[in-house]
Amino acid sequence: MNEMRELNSPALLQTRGVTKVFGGGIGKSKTTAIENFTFTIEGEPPSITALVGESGSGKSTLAQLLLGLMTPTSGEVLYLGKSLDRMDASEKQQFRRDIQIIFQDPFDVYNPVYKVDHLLTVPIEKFHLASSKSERKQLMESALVAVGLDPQELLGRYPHQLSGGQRQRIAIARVLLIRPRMIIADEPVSMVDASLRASILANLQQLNRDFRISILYITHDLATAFQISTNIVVLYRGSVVEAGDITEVIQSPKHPYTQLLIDSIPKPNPSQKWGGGATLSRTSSAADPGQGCKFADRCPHVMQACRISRPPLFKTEEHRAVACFLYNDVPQIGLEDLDTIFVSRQTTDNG
Amino acid sequence: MSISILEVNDLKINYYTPNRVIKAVDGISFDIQSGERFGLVGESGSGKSTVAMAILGLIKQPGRVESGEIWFTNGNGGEEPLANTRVNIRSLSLEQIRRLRLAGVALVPQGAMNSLNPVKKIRAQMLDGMVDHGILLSGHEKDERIKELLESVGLRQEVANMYPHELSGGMKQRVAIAIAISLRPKLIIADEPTSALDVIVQRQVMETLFELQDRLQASVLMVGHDMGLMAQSVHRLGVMYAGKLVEVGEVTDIFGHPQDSYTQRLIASLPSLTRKSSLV
Repeated sequence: MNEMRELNSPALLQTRGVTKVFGGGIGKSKTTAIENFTFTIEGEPPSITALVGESGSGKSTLAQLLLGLMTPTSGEVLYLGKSLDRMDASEKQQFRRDIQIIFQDPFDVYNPVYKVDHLLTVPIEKFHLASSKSERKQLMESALVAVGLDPQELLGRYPHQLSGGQRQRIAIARVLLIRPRMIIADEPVSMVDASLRASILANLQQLNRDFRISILYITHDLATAFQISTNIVVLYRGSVVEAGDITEVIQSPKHPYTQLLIDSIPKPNPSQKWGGGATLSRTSSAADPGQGCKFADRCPHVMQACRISRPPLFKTEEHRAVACFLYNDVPQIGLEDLDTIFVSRQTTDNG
Repeated sequence: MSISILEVNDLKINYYTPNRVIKAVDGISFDIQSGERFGLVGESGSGKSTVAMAILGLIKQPGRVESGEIWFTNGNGGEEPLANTRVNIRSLSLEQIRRLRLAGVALVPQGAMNSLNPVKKIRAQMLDGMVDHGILLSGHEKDERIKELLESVGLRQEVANMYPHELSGGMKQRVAIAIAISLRPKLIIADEPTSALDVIVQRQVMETLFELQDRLQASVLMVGHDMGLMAQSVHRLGVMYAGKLVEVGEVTDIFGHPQDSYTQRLIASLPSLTRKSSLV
């Protein structure tokens, strides 16, 4: 790789101590969706990072914060080193072009009364990507071809005439047209049939490699995350519980929550007991964890210390940090230093 | 000795489109024993959900059941006039099928978020089926019944007075299970019951379903595409491809020694947690 990021040039997208609290009106309880989250997505080299957690872990809230669709209660989101709420109009325009999203539901992003072409023509007009009608058509066709679709078959059709997989790939073609620097993919394959998932993930991987686009892959599916990502951040109720090199985290999870997640994946082997035979507590407690560890109520290894304060990040390996007192014999790192443990693509690319 | 709750013989179902006839189900046969969990697995378009719909008597235009039989044996406690009888679902009148649904064969639908009515409280939706089947309960009995059903799926009784949007995906799926078992059916059809849920909630919901199945001594027909989930859930498995059953057998045999090449590919297609493979 020859294009190295210049020293001191600001990161593409960054969060600094971001917290988002919902509710808290008179007589209403507060929910902290994201708590003190610091994290960086580099544009160069382009990365694929997985953000994993169960429903309610705050992963979609984070996506909205990163897109500027929501403002943090405290902390800030920075695009090229500048806080989103301090950008001028032209910077905002550039931001909206550079950071794109692919949504979970390939049915909801289409307006049923417009042909699917509409999804592609809108960005072309808004971002002035084409100067003539023929150029516009050519642009649309090449984007569709790039994601493995046949433009003759699809253009001019209505959304209801297409399968979920086709719709999701058109959404990817749309993103490709815009040539962003980063894509936030929020559960892009969870509503697509299993046999089509691989091709959509392959499309994302291709965007990353061929078009040098960084991807934040938000999901609850650890297996697909493992297949396409280099690094992983595991969230539990708004806090990072484990992060780092995805191969290390998936193959030898250290945090009891990550272990529970991996044990809960149904293995295609009837003699291997689901969840390792461990029983689950029926309800995930929504009780306020106070100052203690948020996972303490469900944790099989809970100790005295877990009830008293939130565990900091312990740097268990060069490329891994775990927020759990089980590892308090290794050095701590600050929440703001989470970035330092991630693997940079050059050292791990297995091509 | 166990008895066959369901016997499907040489079932054929076609869909008629303006251009051609699609053989969605092309002559399949299988049976489900009492207390057994049977899985039908295949990719979308393989016909697995069409089979489930046929058992519920829900094949509609442009689909048509062309031939074959679907024998259902209702155990004790079934609703009259179907108690202790063996009936061919294909030969029942619409009214008889209506009575059979929920009371004899019940469906846990795919994506409960879309199957609950957004403007009705959970309580009313749970009572709908009972009312429809002519079960008359006093106000107090209704409260008791709802409390009992919600408890059986691990939900608090306050859930009854909530609207679907106030519940999480896993809670909605539990409500759907509570409704499905409300008339103590002999066969529960679960059509991809947990495909939209994360793994931990998925495991909790499946454990709840199987616990209830044991208690009701019902059978389960599980329809889906997730081989991992099937391996952990069913006793016997049928693999469907293009409307045909390419392999049927004990789940340990199918995963241990898959005979058909499609079954082998289906097992191999699961994303691995131990080895990265190139997708591009």
